[in-house]
Amino acid sequence: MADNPHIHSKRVALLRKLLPFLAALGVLVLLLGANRDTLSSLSQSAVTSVSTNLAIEAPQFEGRLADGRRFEISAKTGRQLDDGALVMRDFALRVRHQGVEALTAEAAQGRLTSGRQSADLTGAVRLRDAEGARLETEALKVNLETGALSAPQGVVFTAPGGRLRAARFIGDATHYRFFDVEMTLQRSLP
Amino acid sequence: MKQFFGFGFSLASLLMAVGLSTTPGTAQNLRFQTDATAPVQLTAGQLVWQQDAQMAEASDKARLSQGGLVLSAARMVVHMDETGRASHLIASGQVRLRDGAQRAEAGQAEYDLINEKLVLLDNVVVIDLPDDTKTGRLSGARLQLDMRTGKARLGGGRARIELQR
Repeated sequence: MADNPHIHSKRVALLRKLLPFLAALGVLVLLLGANRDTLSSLSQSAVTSVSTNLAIEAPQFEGRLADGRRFEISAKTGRQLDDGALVMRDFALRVRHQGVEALTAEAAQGRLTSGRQSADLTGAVRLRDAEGARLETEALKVNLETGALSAPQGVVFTAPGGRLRAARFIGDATHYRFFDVEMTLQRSLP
Repeated sequence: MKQFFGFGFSLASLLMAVGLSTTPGTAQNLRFQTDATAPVQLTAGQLVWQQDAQMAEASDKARLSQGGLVLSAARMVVHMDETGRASHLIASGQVRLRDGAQRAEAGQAEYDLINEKLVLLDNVVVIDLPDDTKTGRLSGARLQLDMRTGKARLGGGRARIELQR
């Protein structure tokens, strides 16, 4: 049964008029959906923006610590676990203060908790600060709200002033605290 | 040690105990076993590294050793120079310096790591470690030890020598 050509033309004309509105409505729905994700992340943690790479290839996070320093987290790959935690390979954390890199931490693996409040770095963890001090350990916890660091296992710390081994470590932006320490001092030159 | 406290004190009046008070400025020459070329090792139950303040504070059985010489104290603060290297150290609280033959006790010690001079301050007492023949004890206000030569001078205030045998 063929349509009346006149009625058909009117339908086409109507659809032509509605098409831009439908397209705009679709875009609006997409934008609102994306915004809801970002706001959700904000409400859950200090993370302020999240890469929306669906395959979790090269995941990236940005945030701000309580003292105002900004941080970035990146990795080669990531995998979301059932509990909401995100496990990443070739993990890197960079903390910046007034545009200058204040601290970097790299590890074979990093695990962001479901609330994104902390990152657990494991496997060949390497931390370096702006003063050139380096810390090596197998496991390091970073609190992404306060910036506090803690290593429950042995650490090796190297700075211009010396090199030490310690059974345990905790630290923040200004203090590094080591326990059961053996250190060789690097003396000033005369 | 047993000989020193038991035999020494019980027969104190009979022993040849020489109390030798000297005028301020008189110094006694001593020698410690030092090796200024040996690495400086620090051990402690806890160490706080303050990068901004260019210092590190060791506590809980802090112990500094260099060659055969050992300095121990309740607290040690290592100060860094502008390059971040350790320039000097201040030890306080139950300070003890020991080599194989003698021990010194003081309230405070300062180790200049650049010029390799160690100074003990505040009620310095130098004690010969017990051997079969005699035990000696010297006290003064300040003991200055040259880590390169091992030579030390005890002086300042009223230096005092006590010999017991």
